[in-house]
Amino acid sequence: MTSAAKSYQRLVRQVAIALASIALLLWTVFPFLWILLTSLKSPADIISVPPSFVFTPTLDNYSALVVGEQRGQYSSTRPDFPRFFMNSLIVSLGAVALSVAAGIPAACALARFSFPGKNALAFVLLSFRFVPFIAFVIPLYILYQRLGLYNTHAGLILAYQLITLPFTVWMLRSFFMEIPLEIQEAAKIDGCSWLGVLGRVILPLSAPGISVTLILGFMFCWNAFNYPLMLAGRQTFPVTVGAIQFISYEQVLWGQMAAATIVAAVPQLLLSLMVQQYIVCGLTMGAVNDAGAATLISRRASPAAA
Amino acid sequence: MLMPLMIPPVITALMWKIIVLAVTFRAMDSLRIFDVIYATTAGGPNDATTNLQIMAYQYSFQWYQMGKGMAQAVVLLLLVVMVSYLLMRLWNRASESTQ
Repeated sequence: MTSAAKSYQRLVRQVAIALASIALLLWTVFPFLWILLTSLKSPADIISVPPSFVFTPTLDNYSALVVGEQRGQYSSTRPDFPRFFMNSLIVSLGAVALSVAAGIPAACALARFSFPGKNALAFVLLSFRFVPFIAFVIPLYILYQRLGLYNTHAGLILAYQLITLPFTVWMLRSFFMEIPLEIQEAAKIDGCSWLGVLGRVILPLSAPGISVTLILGFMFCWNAFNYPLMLAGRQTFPVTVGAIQFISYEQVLWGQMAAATIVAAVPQLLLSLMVQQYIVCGLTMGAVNDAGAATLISRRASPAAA
Repeated sequence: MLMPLMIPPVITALMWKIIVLAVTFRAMDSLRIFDVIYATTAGGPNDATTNLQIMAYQYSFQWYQMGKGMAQAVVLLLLVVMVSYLLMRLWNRASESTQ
């Protein structure tokens, strides 16, 4: 092959890859862009056919989120978006804090100790990911009604542990296992107790891992839709379920719903920009990178252990 | 023309394990999908887009027949277990062939 043909082939390859990435980018970003445009439109522009891409942008939808507005008039009965946002913050932060507080000792035990049933326990935690949520939510609903946890922040935080706790334990476990045993043994020789090893050696060394786990767990909680849909009421809805509330029997407030979605996405966007390079590795690490997890999955194929 | 874009068989052979794992996770997620269906069509028109999870939701939270809803959830769980078992066997075979 001549060098000219070779470079031509390379050019074709590069152009094809570029075109493919642009197509993929459009495919993934378009819905978000569409919502962003919708949130800046007036009601007439939103429902116009064909869709208008040139329009006078308005911030009415965003101000309506705070003061409440329907058909140009102030409305007192509206989805209380600021409240939904606060609910999301309270519940997500609470859930992440609880699951890290409970997850650090659990992950440490699973990474550093050996005890009977260790692998089974780790697998039971992982298998929560495979169980259809409705199988959890029906018993939880009945239980919460009786315990008075229905429609409370505490109840939601506890329910969110089903999402974050397995994830936290597996992430932290793989981070803890990366710390060389020698450092830990050195600390013990110097007189550290087990809690001392955890506090003075393991935690400081895995601080980056813990912060990534915190942020990813926060994003999972922020995204949660299924559990709050059934376990929360109008006072405790987070933003995800709150956005649906703009659909009512009389009308659908598309503009306000789009604005709510955009505002709800802002914390996630900021956080995901912060931890961009960790996200992909974090999402797969528990399952793929960890040789122990891999053999565990292959040995016990059925998640019925849950 | 498209030859340079094709992925060489060596790479696919080594990737096979990861591919099966990715398929497993996506299969689980799509079997258990709920929020997208609920927010877009809520299972309608009539029951054209209803999956097991949506049906279990309707039984237990719209018609308050929690027992029936729970039974459907268990059936769905068994389905997920069976599919994941099959995929895990595939995964085992893939990891044997690469080692």
